[in-house]
Amino acid sequence: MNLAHLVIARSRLALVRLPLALLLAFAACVGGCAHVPPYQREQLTAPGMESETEAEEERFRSHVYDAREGAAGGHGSTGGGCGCN
Amino acid sequence: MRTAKPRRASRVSWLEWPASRARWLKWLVFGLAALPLCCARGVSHADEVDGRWSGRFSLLGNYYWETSTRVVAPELAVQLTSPNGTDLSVNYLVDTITSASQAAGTTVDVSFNETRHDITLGVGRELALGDNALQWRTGAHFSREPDYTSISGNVGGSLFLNERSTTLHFTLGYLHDEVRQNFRGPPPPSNPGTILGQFDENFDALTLSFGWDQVLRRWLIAEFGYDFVYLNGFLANAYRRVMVAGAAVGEQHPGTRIRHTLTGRLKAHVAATRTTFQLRYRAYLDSWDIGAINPEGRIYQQLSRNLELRLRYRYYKQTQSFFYEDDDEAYAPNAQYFTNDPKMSAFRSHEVGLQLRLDFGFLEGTALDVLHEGRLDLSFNYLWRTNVFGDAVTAQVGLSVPF
Repeated sequence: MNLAHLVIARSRLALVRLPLALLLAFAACVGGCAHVPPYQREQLTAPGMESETEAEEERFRSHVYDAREGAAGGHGSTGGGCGCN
Repeated sequence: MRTAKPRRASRVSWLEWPASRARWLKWLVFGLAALPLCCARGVSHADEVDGRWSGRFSLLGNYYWETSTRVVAPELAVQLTSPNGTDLSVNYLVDTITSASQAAGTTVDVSFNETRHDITLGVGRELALGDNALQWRTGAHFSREPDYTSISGNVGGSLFLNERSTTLHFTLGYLHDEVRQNFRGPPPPSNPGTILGQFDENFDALTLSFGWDQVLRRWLIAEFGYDFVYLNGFLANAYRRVMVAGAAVGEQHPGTRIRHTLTGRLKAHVAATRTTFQLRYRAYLDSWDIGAINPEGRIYQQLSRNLELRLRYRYYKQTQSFFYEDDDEAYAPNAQYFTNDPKMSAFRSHEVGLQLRLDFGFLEGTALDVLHEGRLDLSFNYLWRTNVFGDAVTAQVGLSVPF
């Protein structure tokens, strides 16, 4: 990667980094790392709060995204067909 | 017909991937994968008392449609937990793709059907670490179709801290893909560097993932993740052609690619209205200068005791790679890299999805009582895209029953 590409890459990184930083800041403001004892976690067991129940149905969609988008990763899928390179 | 061997378009760097290093990494990944099976003491498990196996059986039907491509993919998944707490999983998917030339990348307008077999295996075990716990996982994935074979393995773990308020995840994976050509209709014109029917390329990938899940409130969870992927080898399409100096030639992409992905997710549950909100964000950057952002919002609303409505909206936007040209005839005769891949172009997409989840609790005490803990999912997603792939539809139906 030459210098021009490095500069472009860094500026883009700044653009995509901002929303994530805001998300982190929000999470920190809301609760930090406050300890929630197990007996107070009933709401956290609601179906929509458990990532595992979504993983199965998202596997196929993730494969579609890998095959049709330049950005891959972040959703746990791997290669296999469709030129997912 | 025999033509000249194409040059491998790879960059020389310290990350260049000698065969010896690839072999070493394969052994590292598969060696670490054996660790969970060797560990002696697991976390106490309820089924240890009665020696019962428990698990879940799922059947899914997946459908994908776009102007030039249709995919039908039935899928079977089984998850098992042994009496001593070892988790086993197997997933088998077979997809049949019907595509026209636009997606296949050939120069002649032909249709073809292709079948892909995909199997994923996983083993895991949770180990006690004082007041905390460590879950080791290992997995293998194999996918094969007439012109493409992919094999990968991974090892990872989750460290549960602070009474499981904090979870740290890590995964190390290795992937090897083989790319071949399976001519559809008349063979393409000159394909520099290949003997027709004997095209055989491959690439390897190393993946590293880290994640952090944090319970923030009794109703709020935050999740963050980072993925690093290093790819080396043949990273172009075996069929797609590009016009360079008036001749249709095969794509030339750089031989290495480094991907970075950051993800964030907030999940909140409002008990009073039985609503769950999810806000997701994904940011991506790679060494080909493609940058992408991908926010997504979801609302899950419990409509009744057994029925839930799930709505989602996903936005995706990416920049183009440094070697992409909108007009593929703009490449100079001495261009080092050239592509006709729509994934290398700048584009954006909007997607909306609707899902209905029906729990079978109403079957309790009936003749179908055996299904009363199961569920049925129906989903429909519509995608608007600004590149040549055009709009798309994804539909799924899933039946899942625990035992």
